[in-house]
This record gives sequence, structure tokens and C-alpha cells, in this order.
Amino acid sequence: MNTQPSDKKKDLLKRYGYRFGQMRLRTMSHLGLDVFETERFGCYSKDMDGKLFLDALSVQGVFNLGRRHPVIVEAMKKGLESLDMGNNFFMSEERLQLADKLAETTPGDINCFFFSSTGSEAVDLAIKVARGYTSRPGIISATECYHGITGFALSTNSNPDYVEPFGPLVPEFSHVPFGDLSALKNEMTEKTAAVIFEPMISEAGLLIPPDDYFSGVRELCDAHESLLIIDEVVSGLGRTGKIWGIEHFEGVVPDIMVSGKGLSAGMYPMAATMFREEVADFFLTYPFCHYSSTSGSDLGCVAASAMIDIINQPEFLSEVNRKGARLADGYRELLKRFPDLLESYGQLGLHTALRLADSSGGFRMNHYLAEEGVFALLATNDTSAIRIQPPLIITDDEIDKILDALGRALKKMN
Amino acid sequence: MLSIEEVLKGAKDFREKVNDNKKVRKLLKRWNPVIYFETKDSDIRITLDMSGGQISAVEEGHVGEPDLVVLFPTTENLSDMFYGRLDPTPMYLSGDILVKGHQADVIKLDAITMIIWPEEED
Repeated sequence: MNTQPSDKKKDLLKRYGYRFGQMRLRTMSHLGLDVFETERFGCYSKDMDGKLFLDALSVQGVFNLGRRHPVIVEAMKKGLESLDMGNNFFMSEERLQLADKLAETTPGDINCFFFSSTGSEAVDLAIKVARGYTSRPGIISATECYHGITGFALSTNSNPDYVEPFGPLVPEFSHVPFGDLSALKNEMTEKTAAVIFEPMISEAGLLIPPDDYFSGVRELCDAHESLLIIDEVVSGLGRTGKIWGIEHFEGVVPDIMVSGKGLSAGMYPMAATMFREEVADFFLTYPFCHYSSTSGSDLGCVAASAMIDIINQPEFLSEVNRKGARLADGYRELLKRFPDLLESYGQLGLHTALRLADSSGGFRMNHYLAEEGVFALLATNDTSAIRIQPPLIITDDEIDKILDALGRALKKMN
Repeated sequence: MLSIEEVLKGAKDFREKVNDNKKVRKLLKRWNPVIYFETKDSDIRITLDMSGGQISAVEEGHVGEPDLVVLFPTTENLSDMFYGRLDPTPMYLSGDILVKGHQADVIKLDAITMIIWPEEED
């Protein structure tokens, strides 16, 4: 139930709206998500007026390890005793250590790295290198995709809500329906520098392609001498029950992969663009073409290295899969109870989404879950869907709380 | 239940209010939807055509292909929205107002009401 905010919160909300945007605040208030976070721990955060929210989104993976994971906090504290962001002109042992650890997880010979602060930046670099390496301009992405908010990354997007006010975007970008190999085949030409896809599209309510899709995409890229870029910003780092989402498609080695969000466990902005050795050769002739004073921070690398140690622990991924299956069992029950409201669900590990029958279903579900003290998010490229991507450290009890909240929300919507 | 004349008057007054507002004209210059308003308690159908940040036409009935269809429970609710007496979003979230169209268009419509009827100071 909505309760009236305290006088202090009312005052802060008013000031916040003025400083950061009235309409954004108004929409979040309507949804019951005008939250000022105070305490944050595990899968929870608390509003300043005391309401506790169970996080069923992890900010799409930023909080894969929950809030302020004690191991990461300790690593950061230790790092702060001697480190800062680091001088990006110099070399860094912390950066090297993180690259070594990542290289142990990446498929094939994806062994070369550039670290930045956000997924968007990392996608921008992937596209820049693809264009530079192939000397071609064409970039093909999925119609349903989302790869980021900056120049090249934004240009992959076809949702008018993201791009319409800012056109014209970067030229030579085109779109094909995700999962449709013949559409991709028809779109590829000798001008195609790269194809960029997520292994499964979260922003459209978890679209999972057929098993043989990515091997087909790989073959098409090879035939056209185009690069395959896989965006693992959301699907990577254990979210799907494997370290990388592309591992669900056997034998497929991308040319470039991108990671971000949960890379440093929500403690420091970090992202990575990861290249096959041959593609990284591009930097032999343009070693200083892409640079950022604040990228690849030593402190961020410390957090990211500690995060990788955690997800590499035995049982971590099998637990993600077990918990994902528990969530899916609950979804099947909900589908039986609410056949008119719910259409389907998608699930791979703890990468999940529920699709409702109505196009406003995601937005309304967002609101009712907030009333129940659960934070999830509609899929912005398919507003009938709600994304449920809880922290990977979630307990069985917390999964059941999410399922109970979904059941109560659906009952109200009924 | 209000008559078609009363609801149309509300829609035309809303048009005047929107078109007089410099901020709406500037900020919604690129938004050109055809919006159908309907109510569950009547056969009343109203079309608003937005173009260049203004409501270019208010028509009785369905005119053109809609980008957004908004179904209110009653003619009174619809009229109240035209006069800023009803914030439609809570009714939308509770399922009392049904919408067919893009979420972003719903937000833009809500933004118009926020601009022309700013929230009052406590």
C-alpha cells in the first residue's frame, strides 16, 4: 500500500525533481518507486521512510553479488590503503591481474582487453575497432536490441524512444529481427564490418534464439569477413548459469565481446571490451586511438578481480542454475493460475522475464510489485514483459518472496 | 453521463490550453500522434490529432489511424482529465483506464498535463 512520505522525504523529492527532472520523478512516484536508498545489503535496500525493497532486478546485473558484498568491500578497503584510479598512461599490475583472470574465462583466443567505465563506452569501442579493423562502415544489430546510450552504441538501437530526438544517428547501421538467420543473410554485404548481438535479448523480455542461431551467425560473418561482436553486459558473469551467455551456443567464438555492469560488483564503474588476438592487432597501428583518463581504474580492477574469484568458485554457477529452475517452477505455477494475464516466461539461469498478455502489463506489474516491496523492471523494448533478474546470491526464501509477490500482484491485476 | 457536446467542449478547452502553452509547443514539436479517447459508459469517441507541438484537430468519432487509444471508465473521468481535475496515471496503473499504444506516448501525454497543470506547492 502507498503511504504518505515523511516531511523530510517530501522536501527531498521536491528538490530532487527540480535538480534531476520532474517527469522522471513523477513516473517513478506513480510506480511507487520514488525511493531514497539508505541502507543496502544483500538483496535488499531500504527507503529513507523505512520501506524495504527486495531487489528482483540487480540493475540488470550491476548487483549480481547483491549490495556491498563483504568480500568486495574488504578488497576495496584494502585497495584504498595504497591505490587510487591509477595513472592511465602507466602500466598497472591490478589491470593486468584482472585481464589474466578474464582471459581464463573467455572463449577461444579472446585474450586482449581494454577497460572502460560503462557498457556503452565498451560497445562504442567494439564498433570502432570493428570498423577500423575491417575498413568497412556497416554495423548490423537486432531490431529489438539495446546496446547503450553513447554515439555508436545508440546507433544500434531502433526503439524511437531512445533515438528519435537525436537523429540523424551514425550512418550505415541497420537492423534485422533477432533469431532470423535468413534476414541477417539478406542484410549482410561486403560493406558489413560487424554484426552485434546479445546472446539473448533482455530489453525485449528475454528473447532466446534457436540453438543453432549463433553458429549460423558465425558462419555468415566468416563468409563475409565481418566480425561478430557479442554484448555480454547483461548476460555475462554468471547471469545465465554459465560465465558467458554465448557459451550456451556450443563452439561459437565471437571476435569481440563486451562486459560491464556486474564486472566490479556494483562498487566501482567498470566495463571491458575483449578482443581475439588477431582483432587486437588493430591497435598495432593505432595504439592511442581510444583513450580515457578515468578508464581501467586500479580500484575498479581490484573489485572486478575479487568478483571473478567469487563467480569462479565451485558450485557458484550450479547454484545459479538450481535457483533459476526454482524460479521457473514458480512461473509455471503462475501461468496455470493466471492463464488470461500471463502469456509466457523466459529463463536461463537467473536471467528471466515474464510476458503478460497486455502491452501495458510490464508497466502495471512494475507498480504492483513495488507495492509488494519488490523492485523489478518492465522491458522497455516490449512493455508487455517484466524482467526478473535478481542478484545471483539470492536465497531460496527470497525467490519464494518474489514468486509470492508476483502472485499477489497478478491477483490485483486480475 | 455527460453528453457528446460536453465532452467535446472539454476536449476543445484542453486544445486551447495546450496550444496556448509555449513549453508544450517547444518540447513536443516532434510528437505527432493521433489519439483516440473513448469511454466505457458511452459510445462517445473523440480524436485528437497532434502536430508540431499543438493539437491541430479535435474531432468527434474516429479519424485517421490511431497511435494511442485511451479508454476511460466514464465520460466524467474523460472530461475531468481535459480540465486537469484527474491524474490519469494511477487509474491506468490500477487497470481502470486502458491504453493501447506505446508506453512512451502515455508518458508524453502525462507530461503535457504536468506542464499545463503544474503540481501545486504545499
